[in-house]
Amino acid sequence: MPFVTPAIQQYAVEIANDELAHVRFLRSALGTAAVPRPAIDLTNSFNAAAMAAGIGSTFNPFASEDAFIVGAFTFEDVGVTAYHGAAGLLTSTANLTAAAGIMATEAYHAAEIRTLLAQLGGNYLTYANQISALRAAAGGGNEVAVAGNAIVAADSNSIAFDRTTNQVLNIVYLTPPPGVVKSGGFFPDGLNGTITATTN
Amino acid sequence: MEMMEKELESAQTSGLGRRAALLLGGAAVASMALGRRASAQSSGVTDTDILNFALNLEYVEAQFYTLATTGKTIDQIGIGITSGSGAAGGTVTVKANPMVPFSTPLLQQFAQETATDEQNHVSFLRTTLSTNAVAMPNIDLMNSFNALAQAAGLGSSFDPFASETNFLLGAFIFEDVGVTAYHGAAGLIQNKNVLDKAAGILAVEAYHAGSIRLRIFQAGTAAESAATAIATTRATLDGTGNDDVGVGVSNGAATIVDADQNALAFSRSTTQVLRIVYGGGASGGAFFPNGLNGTIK
Repeated sequence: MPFVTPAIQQYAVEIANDELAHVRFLRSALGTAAVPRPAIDLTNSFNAAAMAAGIGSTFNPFASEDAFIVGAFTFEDVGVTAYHGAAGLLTSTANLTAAAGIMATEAYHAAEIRTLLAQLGGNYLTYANQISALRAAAGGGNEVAVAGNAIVAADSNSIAFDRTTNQVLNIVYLTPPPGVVKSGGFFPDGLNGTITATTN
Repeated sequence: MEMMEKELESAQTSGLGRRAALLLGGAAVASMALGRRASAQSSGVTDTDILNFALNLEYVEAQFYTLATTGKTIDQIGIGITSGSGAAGGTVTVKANPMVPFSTPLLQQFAQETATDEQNHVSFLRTTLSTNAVAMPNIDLMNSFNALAQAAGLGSSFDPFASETNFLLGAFIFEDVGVTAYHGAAGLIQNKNVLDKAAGILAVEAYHAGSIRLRIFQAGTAAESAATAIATTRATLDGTGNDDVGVGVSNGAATIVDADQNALAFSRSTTQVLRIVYGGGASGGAFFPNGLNGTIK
């Protein structure tokens, strides 16, 4: 990444550290039950998303600081909705509390990225909101386009959105419903674990 | 660790069954039964108690942002502050003409968005709690900030409505605390529908906190230092001394997120939250000069 702005690089390093800590925490908590990392695609996936969103035929999130912020935007709000949707499914208080803490961290990230996009304005804000529309189409709505007065992604009660695992899978596989989807987008061979395919 | 593995295992095996059993079929949130915890490790705290605790905090946040953006209190714009059974709401101590002199449109827009969010949280909790909702207690948005400024070594007085930077610092005092309060309460909530809504409010408070901390970061080292002094004071007031992170740069990384070494946002017990919002007082003080309303106070 050709970072030229120290602050942007510092934001990126913090988020990278946080996500790495989440991976380590979850692997440690799961112990031998942890799944290995599935195949991940960060090249063709972004190109396909850009095409589907109407941004263009390619999109390289590592090409510039502005592009990086749009790339980060692609993930962060989705993380919040995924953890939020899962909160009610967890049965142990300890796991629920840990997941709530990760969700909050993802929301801090999401707000940071959305604020940077609102400040950026112009084409990259437009690209981000095209991505938001794409997520809405695949993930059951649950999106608010980024604007100066729309930093928070929440419903009319100012409660953050949540998504089912199906809706999250439809987004990360870059494949809107209906139908059973097992892979695609960021996970060309699908997720590992038991929740890997959409059920509708 | 071993316990965690077992818990994750049982989450996988019981999964949806338990959720289905606990979900109230189609019932509107407003009419939810907020029952007492049944489990053996119950602290005797009900979902009603917790939501009323949250409502007290939301009253303060809603008043702060609404005053900062409109100069009016929430009751002056039509949001209820009386109890569900009709007992009168409290007073707000605030300087005259508290509207912040915004000059940055993006910040003013965000302040208005946040005001709306906190108003919505008050209304949502009041609707959910219905006749069990507590009235707004007396709130102080003047002497409280002065006292906290002194405790943080920021001077003898602090006016969060005086400038954009002061507004950000004033907002900073609340938002991370809101995150830790909802986070700490999550494990106490019995009803899965209530839990889902509380988690959603938790996320919104974290969105607010993330945006405010970023803007403080962008405002420069003086603002960062003040925020860090406030974070240190919060950790001191709650008795832990180590559950808060200031705003700045650490080992090449920004500290926009207020989280522990596992990158999990911090969590606080109701007692720890009370110590902060009371400014160290035992049964009231700082933002709540006469204490909270409800059973957790």
